[in-house]
Amino acid sequence: MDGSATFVELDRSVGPGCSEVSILDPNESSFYDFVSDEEVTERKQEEPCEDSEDSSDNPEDVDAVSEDERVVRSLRERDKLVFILSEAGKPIYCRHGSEEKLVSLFGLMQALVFCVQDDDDQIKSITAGAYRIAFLNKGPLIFVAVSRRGETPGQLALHLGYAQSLIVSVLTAAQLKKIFEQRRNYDLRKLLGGADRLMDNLLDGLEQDPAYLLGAVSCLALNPSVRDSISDAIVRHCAKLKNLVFAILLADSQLVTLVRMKKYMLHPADLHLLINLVASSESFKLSESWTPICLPRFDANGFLHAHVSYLADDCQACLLLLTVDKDQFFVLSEAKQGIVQRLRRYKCLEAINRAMKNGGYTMQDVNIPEIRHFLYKARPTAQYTAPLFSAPYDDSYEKDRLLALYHRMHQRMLLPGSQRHLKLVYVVGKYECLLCWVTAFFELYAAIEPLVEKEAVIPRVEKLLNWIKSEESRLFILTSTTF
Amino acid sequence: MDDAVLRLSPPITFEGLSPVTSVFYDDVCRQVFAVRSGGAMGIVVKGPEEHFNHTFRMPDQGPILAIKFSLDQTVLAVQHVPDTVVNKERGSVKLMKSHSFPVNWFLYNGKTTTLLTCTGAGGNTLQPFLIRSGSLFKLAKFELDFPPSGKPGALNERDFILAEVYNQNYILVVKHQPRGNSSLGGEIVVFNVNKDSSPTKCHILKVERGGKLAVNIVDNLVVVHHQTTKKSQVFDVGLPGETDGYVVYHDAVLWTDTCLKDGEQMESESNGIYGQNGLIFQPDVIIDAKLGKLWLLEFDVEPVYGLIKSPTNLVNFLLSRKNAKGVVLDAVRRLLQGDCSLLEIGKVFDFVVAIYQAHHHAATLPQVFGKPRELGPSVAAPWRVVIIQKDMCLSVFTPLIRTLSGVQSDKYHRGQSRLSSILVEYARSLHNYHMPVDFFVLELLATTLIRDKAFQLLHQLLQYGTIRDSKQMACLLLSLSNDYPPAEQIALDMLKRLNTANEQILEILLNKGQIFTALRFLRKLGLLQPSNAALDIRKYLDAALASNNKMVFFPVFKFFEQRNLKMYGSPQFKPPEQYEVYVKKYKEMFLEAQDSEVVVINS
Repeated sequence: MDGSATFVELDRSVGPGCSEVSILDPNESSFYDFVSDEEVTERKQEEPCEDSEDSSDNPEDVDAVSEDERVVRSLRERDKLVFILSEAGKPIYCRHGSEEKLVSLFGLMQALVFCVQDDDDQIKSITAGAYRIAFLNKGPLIFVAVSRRGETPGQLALHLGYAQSLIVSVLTAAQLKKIFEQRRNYDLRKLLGGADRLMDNLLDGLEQDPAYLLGAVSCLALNPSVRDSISDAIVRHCAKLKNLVFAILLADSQLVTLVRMKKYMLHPADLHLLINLVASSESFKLSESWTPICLPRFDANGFLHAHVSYLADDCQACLLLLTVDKDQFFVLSEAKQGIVQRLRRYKCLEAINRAMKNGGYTMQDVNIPEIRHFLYKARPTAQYTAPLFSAPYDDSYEKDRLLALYHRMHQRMLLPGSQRHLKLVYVVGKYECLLCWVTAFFELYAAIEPLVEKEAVIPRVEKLLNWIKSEESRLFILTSTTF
Repeated sequence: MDDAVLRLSPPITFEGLSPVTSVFYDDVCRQVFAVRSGGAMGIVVKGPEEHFNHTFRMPDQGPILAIKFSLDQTVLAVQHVPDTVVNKERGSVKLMKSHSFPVNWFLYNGKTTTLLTCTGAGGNTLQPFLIRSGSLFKLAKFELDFPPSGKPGALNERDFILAEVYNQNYILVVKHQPRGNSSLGGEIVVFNVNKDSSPTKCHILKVERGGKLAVNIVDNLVVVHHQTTKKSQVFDVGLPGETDGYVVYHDAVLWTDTCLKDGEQMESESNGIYGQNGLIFQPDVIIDAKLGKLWLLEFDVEPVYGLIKSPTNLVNFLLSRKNAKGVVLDAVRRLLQGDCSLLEIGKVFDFVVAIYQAHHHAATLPQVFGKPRELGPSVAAPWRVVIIQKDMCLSVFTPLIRTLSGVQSDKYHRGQSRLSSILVEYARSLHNYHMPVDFFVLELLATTLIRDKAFQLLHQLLQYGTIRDSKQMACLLLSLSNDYPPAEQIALDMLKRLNTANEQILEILLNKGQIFTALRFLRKLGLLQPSNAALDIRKYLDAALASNNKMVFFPVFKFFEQRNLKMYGSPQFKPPEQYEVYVKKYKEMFLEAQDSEVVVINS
């Protein structure tokens, strides 16, 4: 860590404790003092054999130290890292690295969190040179993000929150708590088998998919009549099923329709977890699956049971039926068959296939030559739409660059140190101009031709808004269907 | 002696005093009259101005008391007896004005047309008159605080000198021994006399030596000769000195080490300037009547450099000397090369620039009464050495840079940074006096700052307008932008402000691959309007292609397509054959790729 420019941000609302924390020299003996004696002895008693990698306990293991160093060095090449550990300092997950080789690094992270907690305060982030280190201490787990991509602490905290939700979605918060109450030193990796893949995919998505940035989902563009028939088919076959909470149809990570029990809402963050689940699991394509899943915003302490299946071999849309009843697999399987048959009868499968094949619309369809690309979020429904990336964002490098620009603009809209948003920002960039416009109804981020006059931008953007309005019924799900 | 600052001119010889020859001197016309046998054997008139030399005879009419020519050399006046004046030639004398009061003695200075009379019983009351354009002005009387005549230390006529120094009309009063024993030696009290106010005591020259003193004025300097030590002091009333608010006390600027001698050896101790036979006349005449020689006192500025220690005094002194330009420049250069502090350098520059400014101001005043503009030495102060910026560059800064180029690298850097400080100081001084800094000074400053890597300083000088905008400076900055990249933007901003170099701005922008900026600038100039059909679009498309960056080519191509749409109603370029290569390239880069690969969001 570069000590020369280190700022530590604390959550002052948590406690009246000290407002500043100095980063201690790791070589100082006092640094390890706050790991209480109790914990150390416990570890020694319970898992003396498993601690071979902990160099402090095993001075003979010189190779492990150099191996540690090597791994840390390889991590430095990454722009962004995410670590998950238990409050006892047990490694759980590391993006871009093997967690078990980083025991001492995890120890350091744990130390930083507790060092501040001892003063009745909570560490939120550290800025060190170009790096920003964000901490999230939730229940028995500690989440740490290290990034030099320029995210704000708030954005990093959002990412860590998603990581936390993912773990809760696998275990539920209650179970998580119970495990660590029983055994402080529990190696959670045993219970999270396979979740690494979900986590990797989720963390990639957080950087690349504007859905997370906007807190919204995108919908498969369909004629409203088609969408209505699909919803109708689902309602028809599911309305009589007790305990069915949500029925969701996804196509290419886009929402086709969502039918819900009248009294329950599905938070976009929970929907993101479901989309992430489907996107990262190839196995769902092979057969109908029955999987427990906890939706943290819906109920952090209980499982829903999801019947997950793709509609048909000739239609790669994925249907999720979520129920609270764990014995309903066959009932739901039957319902699904009924839905597919009805969709096939009403030619909805073809419509979905066509829409998926189209992939979406391009700026050429929008026909405003001055605007190259945009993200538009309808705030009341938490849905967004964006055209396909087209020239000149027609390679992955340019695409990533534009997404990074959107991310940066999103940060800019938030006034530092306040919860209020800027309303309108226009930036002349090196290769494009960017306009961000936030109202109560929408958020718009648009990449504009660099040679357009500033005065001409607003009229063009208004033209774009008109176009979106005219396409609204296709691009968005405007009415919510309930059982 | 080569390093002597005071010298005697080659003597003008005349027939010395003898039983048959009497010698007269007229200090108004600076003429020596050698009268042989009362004029019967001839009168030889000689002086420094050769056209005033005459030889003539006149009948001996008895002993001559005084003999003088009129200013225009047409009338000779000869006084034979105390009461009679004989007019040799025709003409008359008219009584202009008369004042009557008892007069002990009087002095007259023909140059300043000042008449000083001494009156009163003690001989301590002085009554000056000024003759200005034919009128006689009686000035206020003033008393001197001296022992009355007859007492020791009393003054006599010979202790008063009327002189003009720096265009000021002065009365110098020589006090051989100051009263009291507080300090040794005498002093010279200087009174300023002018028409509009009563004479005021304004300078005291601290002679600090006892014994007999004689005074000359040469090159606006007061030279005090000491008979006892046979040395001379030089005072400059133009230099600052200790002051009590009214009177400035001056120490001698220079002490001459050697006694003044004629080129040839003096025959005896009693002769020459310090001898008893030496007679001193104002302002700069020394006559030994016995030897028959007349010398003019001369001041040589060349050796002064080593003789005045304080750099500020040195330059201030030299700046008021006649024909001293080369010496001043040389002195400044030597000061800069030495270890003179920046503070002192700044003061030195201030002296130099102050005169330059006064001169410049006078020269640029509107012409009055059809007089030709005077561009020579300053009108108000002709003795001033005017050093313009070009002189400084040619004779001071350029030689300094030349000496720097020869030195070792470690010294070189120190030299560069001193040089840049010096140049900044000079620019500061010019600004101080509201003088526009010439381009070559700024050029020197900018290059030196960049060589010194003092970019921040350069930036500030540019930002705050110390280095003014000019096309030349912009070009210089552009050429320096390899060493200091931000210089490029500064140069562009400068050109933009000048508003006369739009073509160059476009060229520079295109050269640097800033095609967007170039096009935005074009638009600002209104040159992108469809009406400007003459615009060479291909230049911009070429530059965009040359950038080898699709993020540049794409918008430029699109932009011109949109322009075409406005101009011709279709995005096609006209005539198409001239734009084939760009259209082809565009299709290659974007349309073909688009067909084969569609990037899908979330894919």
